[in-house]
Amino acid sequence: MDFGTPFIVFLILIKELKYVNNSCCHCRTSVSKEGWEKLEGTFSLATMPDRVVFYLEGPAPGVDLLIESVIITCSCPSECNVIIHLNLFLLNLTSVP
Amino acid sequence: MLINLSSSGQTVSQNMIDSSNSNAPNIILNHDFSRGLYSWHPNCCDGFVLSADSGHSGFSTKPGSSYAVVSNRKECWQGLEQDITSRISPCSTYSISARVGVSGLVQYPTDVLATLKLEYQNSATSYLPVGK
Repeated sequence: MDFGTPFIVFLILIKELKYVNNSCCHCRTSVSKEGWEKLEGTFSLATMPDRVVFYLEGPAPGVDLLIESVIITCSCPSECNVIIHLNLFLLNLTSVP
Repeated sequence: MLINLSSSGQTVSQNMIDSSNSNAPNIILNHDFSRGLYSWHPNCCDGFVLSADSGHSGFSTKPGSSYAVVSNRKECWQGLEQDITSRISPCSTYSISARVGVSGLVQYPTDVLATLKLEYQNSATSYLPVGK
């Protein structure tokens, strides 16, 4: 079996996926009363920028933002990406005439 | 870097969010403001740290703990930031868990957001809202 064509397609798809994977949904919490609210989310970077800054923002001007704690932990590597890439590779293998 | 491996992805996620049960290190320095604003920077606004016993009413905190106050904000995007460049790597997934609040002339409900600022030498700075 000739693996050349599907493998090239696989590499192109990986490259495209890396650009897509740099973004996620919004991470925000809606504060509806006085007191602490939990803000949670995840992120993943496909490429490494020269500088990465994490920040909290959002309330209207004039409103004070209070922060009690911030925890960011890693689960590396991203298992989902590996599965996606593997599935695409196998899909292209089966399409070989 | 420590990796908490498990056959269940759900278990890994839950452990990461709850720092008391997690083996994964927190990449945020001075995450509880016990060292004042060390490693944190107010973005075009003012910032200071209050201890639990001298803080805002309505915000219960553990005795002896502290929290940050970001004040004199003129724009929605103004907040508190930390450079995490040296402590993250690409192709990894990171979980965020923060305890936040608002104070002042607030019109409830109001949003608080977590954002990543990505700076590149040869291209424009981009902003990545952190996914949930």
